[in-house]
Amino acid sequence: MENITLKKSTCFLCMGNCGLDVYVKENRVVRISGTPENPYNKGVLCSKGGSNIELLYHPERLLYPLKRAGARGQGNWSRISWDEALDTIASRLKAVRDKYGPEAALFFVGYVKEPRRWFQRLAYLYGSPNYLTESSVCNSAREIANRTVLGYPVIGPPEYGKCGCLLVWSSNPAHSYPAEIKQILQARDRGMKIIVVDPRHTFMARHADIHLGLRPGTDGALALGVLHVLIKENLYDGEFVAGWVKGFEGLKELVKTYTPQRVEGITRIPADRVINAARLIAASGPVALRDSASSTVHSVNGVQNHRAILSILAVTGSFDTPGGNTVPAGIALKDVTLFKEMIGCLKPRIGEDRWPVWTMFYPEAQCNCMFDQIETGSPYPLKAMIGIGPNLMMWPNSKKTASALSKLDFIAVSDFFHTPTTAMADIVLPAATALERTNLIRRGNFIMLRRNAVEPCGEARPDQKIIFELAERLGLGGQFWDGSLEKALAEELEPSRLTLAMLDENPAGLEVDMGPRRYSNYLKGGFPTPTGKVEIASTILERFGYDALPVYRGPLESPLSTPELAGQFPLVLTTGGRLPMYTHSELRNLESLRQLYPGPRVDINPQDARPRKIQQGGRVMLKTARGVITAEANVTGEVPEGVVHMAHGWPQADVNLLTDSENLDPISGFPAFKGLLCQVSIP
Amino acid sequence: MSGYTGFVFSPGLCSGCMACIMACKAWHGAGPAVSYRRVLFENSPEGSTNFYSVSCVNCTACLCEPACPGEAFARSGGGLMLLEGERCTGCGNCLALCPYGAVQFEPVVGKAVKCNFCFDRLADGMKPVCVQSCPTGALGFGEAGDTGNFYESLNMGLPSVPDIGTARSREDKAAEE
Repeated sequence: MENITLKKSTCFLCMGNCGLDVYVKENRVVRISGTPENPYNKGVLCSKGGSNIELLYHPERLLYPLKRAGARGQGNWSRISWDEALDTIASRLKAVRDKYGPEAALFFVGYVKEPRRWFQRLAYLYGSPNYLTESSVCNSAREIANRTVLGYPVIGPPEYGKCGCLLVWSSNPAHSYPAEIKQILQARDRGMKIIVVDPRHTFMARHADIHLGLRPGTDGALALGVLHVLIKENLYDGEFVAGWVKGFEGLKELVKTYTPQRVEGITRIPADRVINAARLIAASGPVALRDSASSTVHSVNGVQNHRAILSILAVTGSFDTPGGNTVPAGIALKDVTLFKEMIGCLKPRIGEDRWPVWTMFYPEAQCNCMFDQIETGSPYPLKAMIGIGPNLMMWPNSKKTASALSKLDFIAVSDFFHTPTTAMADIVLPAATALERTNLIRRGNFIMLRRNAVEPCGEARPDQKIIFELAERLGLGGQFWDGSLEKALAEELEPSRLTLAMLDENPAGLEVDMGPRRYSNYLKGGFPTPTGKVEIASTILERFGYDALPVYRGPLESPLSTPELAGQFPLVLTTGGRLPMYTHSELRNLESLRQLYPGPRVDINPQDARPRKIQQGGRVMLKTARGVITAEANVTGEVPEGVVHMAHGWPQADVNLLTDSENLDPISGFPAFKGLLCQVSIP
Repeated sequence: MSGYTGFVFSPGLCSGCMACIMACKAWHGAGPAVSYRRVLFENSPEGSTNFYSVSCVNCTACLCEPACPGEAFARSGGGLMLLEGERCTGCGNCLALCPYGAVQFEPVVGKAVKCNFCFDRLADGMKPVCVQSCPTGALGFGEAGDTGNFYESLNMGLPSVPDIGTARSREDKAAEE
C-alpha cells in the first residue's frame, strides 16, 4: 500500500508489553501485527492485541475533558477545555490540602499502569502518602510471600529450556501469557514434565503430565501435602535445607498431619495423585514455578498459602539454580517515585495500621480499607480522589465501594471510555492509548523507546502529560522536568548508560548483553532475608504476631468449615479466571471481541447443571450470602463437579456484588475472590 | 491428498484464545462485520471444549468457484483458491454454498470476501498473519505432507459443518454420479 509507514510500537492492553508493528497512513493506523523480531512475543499477537485499532477509533472513546452536569451518576456531562479541567483539579486538590491535610487526597491508578511512577511522585510531592493501585488486590500479596520466604519481591520466570518439571500453579499461560505458551509446549516436547494445579480443566491442564484439580482456596493444604510426601519419602535436598533453610524442623512437624489422605479430604484431589506429583517433582528436577499474578493469594490465607508453595522450591533446592526460578536481573533504570526519599516524612499510609507487613514491603497504600476510612474518617478523613483508569468493580462488594466513593467531595478520573467509575466523577479526562503515547518499555535485558505511532484522537492526552501539567499547576513543575517527557525519560535511563538517541536508533528495541546468567547468588552473602536464609519460618511475620510457618487455614465459608451455610449454598465459587479476549473490565465494549464472548457467563459442570434443569445458554441466577446476579449458563466440564466459575468485570452482572469485603487476609488485606459458597438456579 | 497447500491445524494445540480471528482483522483492517477466520467449538465427551480455527479450507473440490457467475474465484499458481473482489457481482451464490462459512458478505462494498491466505504476505516471504500470531502453534501453513488437509480429513466432522463432499475431487464426484 502507498504512503504507509511502519512504526514499531508495543501493546499495553495487559502487562505483557508485546511488540507491535503499526502501519500508519496519514496519522491513521491501518493495520497491526505482532513484531516478529521482538524477543518476547516473536510476532505473536493475542486477541486483545488484535483489537487495538478498534479501541483506538471506537466511536464511544472519550475525546474531550468533561465536567459533570447534574447529579452524580446521572451521566450528564458538559465539554470543557483542558485548562478548565486541570485548573479545577488543581484548585480542588489545594482546597482539600488546606482544609483536611494532603493525606485526604487519594492518588489511585488502575489500568493503564505506565504512568504509575510519575503519579506516585506527584502524590508525595503534593504531600499525600496515599498513592494506591490495583496491586492492592493483585500481585502485591504474592510479593509479600516472596519477600518473607526468599527475600526477593519477584522471582524470575522459569528457564523453560533447562527446567525439569514445571509447576504451573493456578495459571493458564495460553490465555494469561500467550507469548510464553509456545516455549512451554516446546520444552515439554523436549521432556520437561508439567504439573498443573488448577480447579479448572484448562488448556494447560490438558497438556499436563499431572493435573491437580483442587477445590478453590485450598492451595496451602495441597502444598503442605506435597511437602509431606517430599519429606516423608526423603525426596528433598538435604544439603541445601541444612545450609540455607530456616524453619525446616518446624515445617516437618507442620506437614506431619497433612497426609495425602487428609489432603484428599480437603482439596478433593485423590491421594495417589498428590503422591505422584511429589515424586514427579523430585524425580524430574529442577522444579520451577509458573504462577499467576494473584490466583493463589485471593484467599483469606493467601500469603501463607503462597508461602507453602514457595516452600516446595525451598526444600527441593531449586530456586536460583539452572532451570529453576532465578533471581531477576535486568536493565537498571532510576527510581523516580521518591518513595524511599519521602515516605518517612509523610503521614501513615492507608492500611499501615492494619497490614504492617504489607506496607513494610510494598511501596503503596493498601486500598482495601480505603472505603471504610472514607465512611468513618478514621484515622483521618479522605475527601478527594484523582484516578487513572480506576474501576470500582475490582473490589469485593461493589455496592459498598460505590457508596463510599460517592461520599468523596471530589473525584477526577482519566480513562478511554465511560465506566461505572467515571459515572461517579466530577471531572473526566480523555486518556491516550498506547499507540498514542511515548514511553520506555523494559523487560529484563530488553529495552525500547516506544514513540507514539499516531497523534492522539480528539483532545485525548497521555496520562503522563496530564500528570506533568497538573504538577505545574500545583507549583511542582521544576520537580517534573519542566513538563519535558524527554528529560524525564533521560533521567530514568541514567543508570543504564543508554541514551534516548541510542534507543531511537533501534525503534524495535534492543537487547543489552548482561553477560551469562549467574546462579546460586546466595553463596555470596545469603538470601536478602533477616537471617540470610530461605525463611520457611519467617522472622518478620513472627515479629508482627503472625504464624511464622506457612500454616493452612481453609476458606472461611466452605463445605468443611460452614456445613450449614453449604446446605443453602452447596457449590464452591471461584471468580476472576482470565478470559483471553478481555483485560479485567476493559475492552468489553469492542464489538469484535463481544462476538467472541458476548456477555457474562457462569461456568457450571454438567453434573451440577442437570439436577438444576440448567441448559447451555439459559439464564441462571448466581447467588451467595451477599447477593444475586443473573447471567448465561455455560455448561462445561472445564469446571469440576461442585465448582462454579465466573469472570469478573461485567457491569451488568458484576460478580463482585457477591464477594466478601469484610473478611480479609490478615497479612495482606486481600479479599477471597476464590473459595466462596454459592448456589446456581434457573430464575 | 498429497500436494495440498493451505492451512494446517493441530486441534489439540488450539486453546480457543481467538488470537487468529483478531490478528486477521488487525492486519486486513476488517471491522466487526467480517471475520475471515472463525473458531468453532464443541464440548468433548471428557468435558473440556475442543476448538477448531477455520477460514478458507482451500477445498480440493470447492463449491464456490463453479457457482460464481463473475469468475471471481481462481486458483493461484501455488494452488490457492483466491477471490478477486473486482470481479464479484455480489450475487451471494458462494456464500450459500461454502460449508465452512469461509465466504462472507462485506456490507460496505456489497461484495463477497474471504481469506486469501495473506497472499500479500506470502509474496513477501512471510506467513499468513493468523499463523504468525497463533500463540501455541496450532495453526500452520504450507505443504501439509502426510497430514493432508486437516479440515477435509475430518470428513466434515467440524461442529455445524455438513458433509457435502468437498474432500472428493471433481472427477471422483462425477464418477459417483
